[in-house]
Amino acid sequence: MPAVAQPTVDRTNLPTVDVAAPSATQGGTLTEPAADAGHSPVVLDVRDLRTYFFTYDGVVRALDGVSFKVRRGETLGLVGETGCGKSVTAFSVVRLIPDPPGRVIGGKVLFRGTDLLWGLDSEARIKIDEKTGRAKVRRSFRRIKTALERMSAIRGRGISMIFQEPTQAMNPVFSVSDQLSEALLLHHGTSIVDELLNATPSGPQVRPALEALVDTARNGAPDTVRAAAAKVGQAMNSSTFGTQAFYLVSESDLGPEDMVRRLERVAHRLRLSRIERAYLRQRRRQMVVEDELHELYLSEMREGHINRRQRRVLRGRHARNRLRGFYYGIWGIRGRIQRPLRDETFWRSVQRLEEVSIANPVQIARGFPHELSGGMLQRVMITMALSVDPVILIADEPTTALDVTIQAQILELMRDLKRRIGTAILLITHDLAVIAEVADRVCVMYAGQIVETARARDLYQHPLHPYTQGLLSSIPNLERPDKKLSSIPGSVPDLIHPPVGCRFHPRCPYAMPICKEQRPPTTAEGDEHTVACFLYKGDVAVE
Amino acid sequence: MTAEGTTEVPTPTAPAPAKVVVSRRGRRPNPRIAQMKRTWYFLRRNTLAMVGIVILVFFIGIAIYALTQPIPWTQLQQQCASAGINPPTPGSGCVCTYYAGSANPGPGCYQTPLNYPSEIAPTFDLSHGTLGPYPMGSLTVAPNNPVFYNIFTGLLRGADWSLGISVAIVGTGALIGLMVGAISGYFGGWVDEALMRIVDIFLSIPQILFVIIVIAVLVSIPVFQPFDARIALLVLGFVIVWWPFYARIVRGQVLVVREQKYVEAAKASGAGSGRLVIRHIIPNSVYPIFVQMSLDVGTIPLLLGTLVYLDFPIFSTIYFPEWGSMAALSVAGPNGVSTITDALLTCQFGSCVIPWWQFLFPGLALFLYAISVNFLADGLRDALDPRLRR
Amino acid sequence: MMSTESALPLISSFNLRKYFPIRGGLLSTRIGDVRAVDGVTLEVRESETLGLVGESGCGKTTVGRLMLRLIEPTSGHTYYHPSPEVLARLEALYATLKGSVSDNGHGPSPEAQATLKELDEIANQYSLYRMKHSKMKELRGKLQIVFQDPFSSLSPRMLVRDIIGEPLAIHHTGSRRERYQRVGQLVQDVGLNPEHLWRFPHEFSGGQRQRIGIARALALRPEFIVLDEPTSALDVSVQAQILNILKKLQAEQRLAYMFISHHLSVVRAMSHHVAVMYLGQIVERAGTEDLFSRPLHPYTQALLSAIPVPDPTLKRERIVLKGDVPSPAAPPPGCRFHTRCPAVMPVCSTIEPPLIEVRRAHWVACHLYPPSGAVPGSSSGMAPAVASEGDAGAGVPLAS
Repeated sequence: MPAVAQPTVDRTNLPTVDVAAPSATQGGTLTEPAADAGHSPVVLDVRDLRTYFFTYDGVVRALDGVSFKVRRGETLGLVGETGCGKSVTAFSVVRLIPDPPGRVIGGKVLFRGTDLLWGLDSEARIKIDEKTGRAKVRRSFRRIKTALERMSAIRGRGISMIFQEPTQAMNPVFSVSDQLSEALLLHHGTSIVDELLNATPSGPQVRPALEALVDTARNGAPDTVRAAAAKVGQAMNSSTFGTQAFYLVSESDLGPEDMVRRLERVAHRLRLSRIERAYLRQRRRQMVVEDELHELYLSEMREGHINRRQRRVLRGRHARNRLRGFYYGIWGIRGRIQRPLRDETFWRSVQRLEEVSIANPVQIARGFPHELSGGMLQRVMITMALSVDPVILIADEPTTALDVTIQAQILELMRDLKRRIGTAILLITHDLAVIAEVADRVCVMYAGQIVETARARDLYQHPLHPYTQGLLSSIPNLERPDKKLSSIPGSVPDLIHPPVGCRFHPRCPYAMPICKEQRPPTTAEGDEHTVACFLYKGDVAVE
Repeated sequence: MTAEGTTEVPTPTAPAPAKVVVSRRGRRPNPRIAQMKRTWYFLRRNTLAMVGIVILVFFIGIAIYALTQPIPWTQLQQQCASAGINPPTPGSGCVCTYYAGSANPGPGCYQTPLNYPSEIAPTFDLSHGTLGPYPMGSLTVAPNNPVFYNIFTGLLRGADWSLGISVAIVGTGALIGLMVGAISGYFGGWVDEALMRIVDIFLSIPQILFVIIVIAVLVSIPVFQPFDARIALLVLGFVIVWWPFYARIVRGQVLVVREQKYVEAAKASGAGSGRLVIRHIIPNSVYPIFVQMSLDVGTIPLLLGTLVYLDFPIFSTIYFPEWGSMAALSVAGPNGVSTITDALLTCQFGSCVIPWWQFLFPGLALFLYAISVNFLADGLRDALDPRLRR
Repeated sequence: MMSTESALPLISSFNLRKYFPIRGGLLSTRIGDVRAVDGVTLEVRESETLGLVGESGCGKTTVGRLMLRLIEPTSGHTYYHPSPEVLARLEALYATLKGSVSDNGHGPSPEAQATLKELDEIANQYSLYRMKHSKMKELRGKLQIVFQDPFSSLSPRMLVRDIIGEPLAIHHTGSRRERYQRVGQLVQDVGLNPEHLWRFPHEFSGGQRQRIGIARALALRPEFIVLDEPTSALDVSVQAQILNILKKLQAEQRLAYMFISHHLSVVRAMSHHVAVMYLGQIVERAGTEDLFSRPLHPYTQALLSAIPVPDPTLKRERIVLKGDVPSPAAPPPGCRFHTRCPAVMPVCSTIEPPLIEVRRAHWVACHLYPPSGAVPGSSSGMAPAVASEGDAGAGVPLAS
């Protein structure tokens, strides 16, 4: 059962693996690896991920053995050119690959120790026709459906994503606060409802707190006003009212008594009638059942065993709950009954918008996505993604579509959030400069394989792989304009017939005979610096 | 595979091949054929589309066969009983029928259901010499009218009517609509406004009514007296009513294509409007009308049937065994009452026989035609859509 | 890149303005204008590259199209291959016009009217926008454009051979055989195989498609090519290839480029001169080295500092601008940048700063550099900025 009423960001109530008691019998079970000395624990461990696309022209080997690790709190950059498979990697992790024509063929994706790709082999059988190079894939849609249902426990909860085009990522017919609320209710639903139910708008400290607020508002600095508003919120046991009071007080200029009376009137919204309370309790029950369902999915993945009976039980409860909640949705009264929850989530979303330093959060929250610029939308997307307190945030080219000055703002925001909240970030981009700004460690991808992994500083100063070197030297550097723009000859290989051996060898200035025959193993070349190239003969790193 | 040039491209003075080969002799196959092969591959994998293709090919085969064979559709048949001949003599052109209960007057007579002496149920009796079997039964043109025809031969002959007329109407309408839509969308401004208002006028009038009005107005012109001209008039009537739908669809697509960069690039090279419209805009705007065309091809025979149902005197529908009109005849004869309606109204308990074969077979033919075209069009659109690159 | 002191400008624009009407209300009346380009004066010299820099919405793409007459300006003129006398006369006329602006709402003063009349006559003779379409069609071959998006700039249903050969076909140059010869040669010039001619655009990668676009632009032996963000949609290494090709072609065929981009580092590598645009106006213009080593305008400084550098060890003082770019339909009064400027002064919100030559060949439009501090002997710039002086011939005189 999820814990009750956690008002602030709290990462401890996420489902974790019980390290002490692994279920030894079933396949696909793993324990969360113990934290290495001096490093934080690994939250995402991708091992030998393979994703193929089965098309008319043949089998596209989009990912062919990709391995990397993301630790808690660190930012890993995944860099590569168009067509190298970085977006495919992100989608494979959360299994968003469109099933015809693509499929994750093999590998393990360990999210906090749980293999997300459990049961992959049983979902489809693949036969490749030698003559034409096309494949026949026979899928068991039932198993795939089950697997994707399981993923819903992870997607948008443990792992959340933001995408490239912010102007297209949001639904244009819903207001910004509606969409933010959706995300908030998903994760913090029970705590929001609890806070609403426990609010005390007519407690004894309320009135004095209100008067104090109005006093400070008249001639106080914004910070003190905020502090006073927070006190009001505390007096009422409702942090959202504190926010609302702050904005009300900042905007209007009534006299003090009028102001206090107005605030009291607004506080009325926290006085819930019986039917409103009943509705809230109903919603809470629903949320609890959903949480249980997600718990079930997670335990399925952990133990490697589909518990159909329990699924049916929970789904039945879910359906019955929804049926019971039917009355509250009757057109006409539903607006009034659901208003308290809507207001509560509205002000919560305003709070979130404040966190990402958006000016005028109230106006923005009421507004619609098409009224916002790209930079603003991307901020809203970031806050939506973070509002579910994910363990890891996957950002797929978040700043590519933005202007340079806006990109600077967003990168600043991401650095700030990194410091404050400490979510792990998997940042996917083709822009090496952006990576240099934000990432702790970097993986360089080429043609579906990772060719080099290093700490950011090491990569830029001592790039080992010839591809990395070529990439870095072809960037026009503002600081050194006279450096000639060299480029890598040739072009990205066709992934249907990739080169044998090292996929980079046709374009590599240092190609040796062995490169044409064997795929180079990934070797460790220094502190956290691994390369896949025959030029280097370090120890083979176990991935 | 494709090897991009390196940064060290040889300057033109370096020994390039003496003459760049511009002909395709001996080179890779025509890229357009390769595209067609690929489209065919996708179509083959789409079951519904294949079903549609099979049915259509079948129908087209029938139509061609019907054209080549001298099926005398004008040779409607009559019952000999009412003609006073019983049994018939060979060559008299009439059919001998008898009630189910009564005795068979002689060889070559068909049995009919109890109350309806002129309705021959489906039978494969091959003993009727040149008059042949009635595998699908007969279709009377009116309840007490002894004239009827063999549904089977009627369907055969009607195949080319139905297919031909619907393709002609849709094709011509789409062509006109394409041109009008392209001009309207490309030029914009008052041209666009004017043309769209005309389109709106056309669209606001109910189609059947409009067709009737158009044909009624034009039918008195002497040009349209001969029978073939009447058919042309029918087609013309429908085309006049139909082109606005296509114009509107095309215009929408043209508005999108007009803003594409390659159009601007052609303008930057000095292309005039004509070239732009013909070579760039129209080829990229035709996609949306394919769906509409396929739907319409199925709808048109039904509309023709509606005209027959309304007893529209463009020509005597007795002589016009088109599928739609056959289906209409079965539920409404020329005088508004058909055998089926009659049967339903006067049915007596215990002795009720509804000549179901009269609407089933023509209706089935129409239905199959419409859905096969739809499936094919869907399949083509999926196969050609560049976004669904499988 | 060192700026060469080449003699004459190849193409020269004066006071280009392009307003797009906003229609709204019941009868779609015009309720306002989007001022995409608001008084831009530029010149590009033969065989040199002018870099035009700015963020999205600043109007740089529109400027490129205006200079090629792909769209018609609301006012302003462009002169192609102006003779030295005409050019000198134009500069003098515009300089005097700056002083005698209209006021009191009574229209231009008599001296200004005479100047305007003479400008109008010159425009009638030489301006690109007053030419007849037949003459314009001839010129089209000389003024070409390469687009940003290699995916949508090539017609998807035409073979590459036809795409590249289309300009030749439009102008009926030579027989079909000769045209195909030329297409084959063009394809090699940009580094593709002749075999690629028989394919459709969607079979190529982005870099290859961009090469096709360049080949198409070269078909009619142009002298001036507008490169509208040619590498923004491409990867870094491909970008390097394309830029190298462009430079090589410029050297071989003496092409003049206008390189429009928002990537300052790329612009620096390619251009001889750079102009920075913000909300439809030029805020700074200088030789490349000058601009990058001593950026004067605060916006330029912010742009330069906002660029992420691929070196994690380098810590830079970053100027992060607050707020978003204002809408071009309602530009802020006075200096358009004042709402975001870190060095804003009271005067900035009322008076628009004119573009002044502060150092030799370095123009800035900013109140931080008042006219009195101008370098003696330099012209006071060619772009009067305040109030109405609309070219009477190109449209209704505009009120600012």
